[in-house]
Amino acid sequence: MLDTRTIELALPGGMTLGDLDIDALDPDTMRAVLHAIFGCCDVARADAEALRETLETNGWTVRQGLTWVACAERGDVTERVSAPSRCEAVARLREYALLHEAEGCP
Amino acid sequence: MTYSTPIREGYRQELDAIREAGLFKQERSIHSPQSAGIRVEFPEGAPERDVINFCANNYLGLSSHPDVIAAAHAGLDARGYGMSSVRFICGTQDIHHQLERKLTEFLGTEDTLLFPSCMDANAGVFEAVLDAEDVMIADRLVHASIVDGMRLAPAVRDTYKHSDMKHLERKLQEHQDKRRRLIITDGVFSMDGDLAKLDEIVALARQYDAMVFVDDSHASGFIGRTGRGTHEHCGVFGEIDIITTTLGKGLGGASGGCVSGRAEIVEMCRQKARPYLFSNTVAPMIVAGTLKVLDLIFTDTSRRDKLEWNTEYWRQGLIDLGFDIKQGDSPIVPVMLYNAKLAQDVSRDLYDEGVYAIGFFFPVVPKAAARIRTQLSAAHDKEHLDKGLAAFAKVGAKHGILGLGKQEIVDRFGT
Repeated sequence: MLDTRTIELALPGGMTLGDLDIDALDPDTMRAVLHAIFGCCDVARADAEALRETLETNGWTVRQGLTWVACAERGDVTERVSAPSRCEAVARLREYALLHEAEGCP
Repeated sequence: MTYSTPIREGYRQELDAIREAGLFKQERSIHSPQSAGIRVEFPEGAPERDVINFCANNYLGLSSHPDVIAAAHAGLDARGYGMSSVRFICGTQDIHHQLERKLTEFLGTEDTLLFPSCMDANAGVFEAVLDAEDVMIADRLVHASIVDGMRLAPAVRDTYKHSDMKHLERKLQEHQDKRRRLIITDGVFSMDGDLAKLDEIVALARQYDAMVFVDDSHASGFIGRTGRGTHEHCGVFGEIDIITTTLGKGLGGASGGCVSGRAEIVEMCRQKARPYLFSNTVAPMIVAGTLKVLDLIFTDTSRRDKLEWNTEYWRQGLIDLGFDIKQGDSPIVPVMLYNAKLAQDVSRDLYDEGVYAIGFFFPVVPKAAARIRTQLSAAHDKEHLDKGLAAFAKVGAKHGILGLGKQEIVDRFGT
């Protein structure tokens, strides 16, 4: 059983919470945020840097960062989207999925 | 051991699941050339049967035309069996360039590049001409090969509701911040046989500074007054930026495809399209056969005229019998049955009556949209059509579906 801890944070002066702020506090989001924080502190970070440098030495332009990933699977079809925001990722995922409503005729 | 028992068992379980879902595809051996009448062995080992073929893409009846066969033979003798090379190393013969020039003229474009298939053309074209700053806006019912091609391209993917021009316009407005906008559509949609509204699409493309892509595989050779395709039918001949089409349907039915369109776009495909760069050239005898096909249809519209007559006769015949068919102008005539089992049963019974027509159901078509897709050919004579209609009448009566509309069929058989 994991320990449950409560953290109380004072909001910056004059700030109120909107729907989007509340949405960002849901468990999935918080889990992703914590994973990202731990990922940033990962002991393997030095290895990742070395791999990035190797790629750049070989002529690749490397971009890396935190992002939202949305994934949909149905039968044999998998669609996966990464985007800077959750809304954008899911919206794009919907468009990708719409192309698979039917396999279509040859 | 490289292929262990667990690996084998895993595949077998997946195949069993496909069977149990009723989605297992079985090939039927044909013991004759492709034509209106064919000899079929099905299931394997069963006696061969002569049946009328209503499911080939042999729209112009040229798959086994004696002049095309003779031209292919001559091409085989003159240029050999294969080239053992991709195009840009040592796989381009004079006849490849001849065919590309002829297709350019036929389709009313600026240049053309052959591909091993239209599937390959669609797989390669988007990645070659678009990047992450661009957007592809596709009709939601485009062919599977286009979907695969879009998935390979780095550009943003978006869709519009099938043939909904207001929705397409909204999407074009949304994407004005992108560098390039490409509207993507089939010319004739293979599932329902309906035609894209290319005149309206081209007008929107002009208004919102977009390019237009059309896959005209189910149209080249017979749609339009002289068979040039959907763009001719819609009055926008010469105004489509990218056309892909196949040599494997109306244009002889062998294999091969092409990207045809603006000179710079075709050149980009020649430089960057991976299916062109990394697969073999179209075989010389197919090139020679297709050159003959284009000779046959360039100035003589009798085959496409006959196909048009056959299509109208067939459509009206099915309507008169009381079948629920999808309206349209193409030789794809879907007979709507809505229920998957009914579609399979009707297809089986038609086969017993000497008619070869396949049932399609989810996931090939949307849920509750099962149908028999019939396809007409200029190779069909009136006698074939009358026999086909008689078989449909008999099988329709057996299942009690004549004169029933969608709701009545659904009420009786479910979806």
